[in-house]
Amino acid sequence: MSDNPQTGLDAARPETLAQLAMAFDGWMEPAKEDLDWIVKELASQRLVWERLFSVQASQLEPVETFDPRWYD
Amino acid sequence: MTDLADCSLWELEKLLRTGQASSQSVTAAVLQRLSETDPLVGAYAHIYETAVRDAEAADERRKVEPRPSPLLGIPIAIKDVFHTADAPTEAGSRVLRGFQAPHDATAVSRLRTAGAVLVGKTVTHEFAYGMNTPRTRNPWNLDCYPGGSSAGSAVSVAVGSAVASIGTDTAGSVRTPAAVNGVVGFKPTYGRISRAGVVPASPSMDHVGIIGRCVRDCAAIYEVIAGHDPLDAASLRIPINPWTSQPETGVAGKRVGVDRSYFLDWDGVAGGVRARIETALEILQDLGVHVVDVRIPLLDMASAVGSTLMTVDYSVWHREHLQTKLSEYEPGTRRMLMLGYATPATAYVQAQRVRKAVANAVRETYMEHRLDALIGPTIPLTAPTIQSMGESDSDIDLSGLVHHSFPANLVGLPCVSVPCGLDNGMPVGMQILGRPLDEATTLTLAAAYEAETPLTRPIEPRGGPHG
Repeated sequence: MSDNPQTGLDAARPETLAQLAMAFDGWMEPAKEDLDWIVKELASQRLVWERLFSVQASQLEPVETFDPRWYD
Repeated sequence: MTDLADCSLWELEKLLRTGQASSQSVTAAVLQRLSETDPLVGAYAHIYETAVRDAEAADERRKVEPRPSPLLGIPIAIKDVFHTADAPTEAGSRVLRGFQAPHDATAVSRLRTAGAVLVGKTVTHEFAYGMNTPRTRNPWNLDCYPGGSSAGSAVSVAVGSAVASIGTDTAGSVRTPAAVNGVVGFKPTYGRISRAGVVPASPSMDHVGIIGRCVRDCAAIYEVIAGHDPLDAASLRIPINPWTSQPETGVAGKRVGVDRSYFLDWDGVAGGVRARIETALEILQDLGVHVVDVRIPLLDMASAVGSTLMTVDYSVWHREHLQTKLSEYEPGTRRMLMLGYATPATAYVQAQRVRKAVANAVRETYMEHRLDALIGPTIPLTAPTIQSMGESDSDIDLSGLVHHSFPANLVGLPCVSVPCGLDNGMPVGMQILGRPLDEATTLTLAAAYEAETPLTRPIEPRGGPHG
């Protein structure tokens, strides 16, 4: 059951994350079978992201951008 | 006489230079091989009808050019993600069906200028993303995975329907197919070869690479297509050091590192693959190479970083096509591209930060141990059967196929995959990851090992439903 009658989204349901993420971009409406796959994959990906966030902040530096064309 | 389609680029160069063969005869042999093998292995998406004419032109040019490029008159294949002004570029996708680029990619243009004979454009996984199963088959066993995404590029060299080929490598897509098809794959330092005119994947990890029958063949093509290109923002201005004119083979005193926990003792590494690499390390030690055990902090994050970055990077480029041609994508590709839009920005940024930490750790390890290279298997197993890869309960973790190849893409290291024997009748690949910009030492180590092992000659497709 949706807890938001306007969007049809139920915050307690796992596909909400995927639906919201795509809705934010404003144009994508995945088919049911695609959404099912994405939701399942997101569960796996979440474990990957947790690993990334497990790296201690002291080991990280800001990401810098260097364009070699400055020195052309 | 040896079939010309079985010869290496340098063997052919000598035959051409000394008048013992013509480009027309070489090209005819290669096209004959193509007609015999491609119905079985499906390496080509498009075959150039102009190859014979180009071979004639190469023979004419040789008469008036005193010191031509070693590529003059050599039949070469190109992956169907390189733009070509005279043939469609479809990247294995219905999304680009019939797309005709106005210009050649820089790498293609440089091949043509050197006088290479373009045989055709080779099959790739859709947009080099590896989610679908292309029609290409592994000639060592037609039931088996041909590697990806430069599958057709590697298979064409393995069967002799091209002398060499070019492909792209974002997460091992040159090295992996080279390894599973028993040929050499070479990805130079990030920025060495222009990606201008190449369908992009993940721009900070995209490399152009070369597949050949031996290390020196790859180097010959590298020296022609590498070099600065203002059309690629990441293109380096640092000159390359020609290696083929004075190829070093002495490796005594070189130092190579082995991170066993990452490359050999990882759960997904097959016992037979591990054994072949251990034997290769012994061969290198016999040549005077110092093999050093190392442990690179954070290297086990490479796959997590690479997969997160790739997932989002791909999606960004495809946004317009997803809006207008969603149904034209293969389901697996479409879903992966959608997944990119559901990936939190925080995860992407964290992946970039961890990537930098991994790169720092790799650099510090090279510095601390004074390494010339790292060594490990190119991929942790030999080619699995295509059927097993499609089964939902398969033991094969597809992400494991890129576990070993991601580090070189994340850090931009030059890397060569060389054939390293067989395991259960299927080729094993060993990768040598050099220091950035030091292609010369990377190639030297690979060539020294290769010299101790027989040159891989093209094989007849075997096994599977046609075997």
